[in-house]
Amino acid sequence: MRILLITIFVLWFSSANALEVVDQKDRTIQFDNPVNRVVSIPIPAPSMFMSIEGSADKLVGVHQLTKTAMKGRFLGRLFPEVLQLPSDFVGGGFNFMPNVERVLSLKPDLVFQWGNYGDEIFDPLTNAGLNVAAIKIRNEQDTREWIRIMSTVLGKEDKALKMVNWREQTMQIIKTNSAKVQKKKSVLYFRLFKNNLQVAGKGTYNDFYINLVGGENPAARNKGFYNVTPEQVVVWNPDIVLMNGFEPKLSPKNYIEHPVFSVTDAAVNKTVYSMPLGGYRWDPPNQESPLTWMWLGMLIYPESHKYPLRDEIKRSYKMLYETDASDQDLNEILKMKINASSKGYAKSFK
Amino acid sequence: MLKKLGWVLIAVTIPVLYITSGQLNSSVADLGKILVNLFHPTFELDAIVERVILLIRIPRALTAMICGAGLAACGCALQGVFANPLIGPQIIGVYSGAAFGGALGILISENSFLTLSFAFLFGLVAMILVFVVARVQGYTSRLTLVLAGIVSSSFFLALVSMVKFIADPDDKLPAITYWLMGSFATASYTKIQLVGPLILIALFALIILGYRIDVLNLGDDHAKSLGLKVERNRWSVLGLVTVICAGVVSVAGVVGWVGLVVPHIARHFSKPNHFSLLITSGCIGAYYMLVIDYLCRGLSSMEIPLGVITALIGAPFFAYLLRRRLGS
Repeated sequence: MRILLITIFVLWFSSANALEVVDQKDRTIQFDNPVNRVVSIPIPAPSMFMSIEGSADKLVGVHQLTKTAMKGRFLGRLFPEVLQLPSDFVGGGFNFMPNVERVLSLKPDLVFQWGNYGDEIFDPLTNAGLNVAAIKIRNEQDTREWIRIMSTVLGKEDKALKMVNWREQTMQIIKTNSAKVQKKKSVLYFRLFKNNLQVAGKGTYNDFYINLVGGENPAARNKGFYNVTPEQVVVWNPDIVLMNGFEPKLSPKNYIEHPVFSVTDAAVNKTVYSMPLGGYRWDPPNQESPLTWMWLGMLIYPESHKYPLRDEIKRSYKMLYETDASDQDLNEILKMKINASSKGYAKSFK
Repeated sequence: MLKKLGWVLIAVTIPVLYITSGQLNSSVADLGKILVNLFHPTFELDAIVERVILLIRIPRALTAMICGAGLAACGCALQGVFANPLIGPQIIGVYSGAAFGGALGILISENSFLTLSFAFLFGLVAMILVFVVARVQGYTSRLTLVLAGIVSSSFFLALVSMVKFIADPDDKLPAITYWLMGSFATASYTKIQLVGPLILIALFALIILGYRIDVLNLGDDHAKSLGLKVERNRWSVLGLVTVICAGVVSVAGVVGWVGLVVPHIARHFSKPNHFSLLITSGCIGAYYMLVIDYLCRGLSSMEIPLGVITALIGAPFFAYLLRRRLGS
């Protein structure tokens, strides 16, 4: 009888202390032991993970393109050990199909995998008995879900609270300042520019922050990212153009010196800007998004959105990465050189 | 006479409508003023309208017409050589080779001329592969030729998949995927200068070979008995088709269905010999492609891939032709 009682107590105690997290597929994952070894297949997940953990110690495998995005950049210098982690469990490109045996050999306590690219890339991991957390990233709500999932498995709820509060407070300030905007300016974001012209339509994160700062997205008549003709861009004739941070060597010059676009308002006024790149690219949702909102607000409506962005970057990097960003880091993150000839850039962000 | 005048009117009206309409408002008068200004600057014009017409619409229209004419003539020539109305340019494997070349070009470089060169080069490589596989003891049968085309096509499609597999999903993969669906969005005078003459020379050469295609159409034994050197002439036609297809894929990506469908339309208007049929196919192909491309850029603010529209129109139309043929 005594043994039975002890067994029930032990079982109750262990289950009460078992770590539990609900992923973005609404699956509940239970961990009997603390999570110390994590493999990440989604490319942007490790930067969020490191910002919550404050180190890269618990990562044991990342996608090859995660390393490519970090190499030579701020986060790569801060956590150089990530560049040495194995990536051979998935292919180099748009390939999130894992080699399960290789993943198993890394002995992960948890694997992050995309939850919105079909079961084919997900089920092999769960079938092998691995703990897999599904993540999706499409909007602000998803970003906060990432923070919740990652902070829960890491036991860093305090950090998560700080990050979410920062996002919420910044958003409220931005909304208040956006309400002062008198005349809306049109802002066009190019998701791709070099080989074909792809813009961000309604429902994209870029559309969300263009509207948040009081701008107007001319591409919002269609949903998602889509390809357009140069003629359509000319018809829209945007006041401000944002060049993506994904394509290597893309700069405002590509738009300003384009044979057709060179006569549009944004090219003539030089209001074409390249998106910054910090701990991750500022274009999609990430841990640094409030900085993107401030940056964009200051660019479009400097009279309504007045923020000490450089101080804010330093303060937030201290909170996110527990490090001090130097002025040189800031110049690199804000792409001061690439944006040097764009209107008002040097003055606003020096 | 009146009928001919009607055709001329249609032939002029379609390109003029193409060039003067689109997302940006412009008129026939604008086009007239631009053309006059080219020779003698006389009129003040809106810089945006001028650039859109001169730098986007006119090179795009020219590229579409050259490619359409080339592809339609290729389809017509191949259907003649193989004596099979179900044959299109894809069957000989050049498309897949050029598709791989283009995808590889995008993957390793950001230079669009490298993409163009690779597409052209690998189109030719695919044809050489077909030649090596299909030619046994100095002779190539129609069946082995088709089978070799399938082999070459499958091989290069696998390589395309490999390129997509290793491409960066953030920038290269969307570019490759879109390019593979075909588009004239990047048309320019420079590209026309590079590829246009090649396609047009090959097209004229193909037309000149029209009467020989008539003989090849009768079958190898008949052709030989009529004194035609079957091997030499068949490979000449295939070589010219390769140049045209590789050229088209290099400037516009993979554009399906045109070479299959247009010759069937042309047969309703042409004399039954391949000289006339190739000319008619080329003309109809040029205008067909112009209309298709107008739909791609004009149906919505989105740039719809060419391959989508050619398939959406081509597939049901081909099914209709097939049913009618079976019925008769």
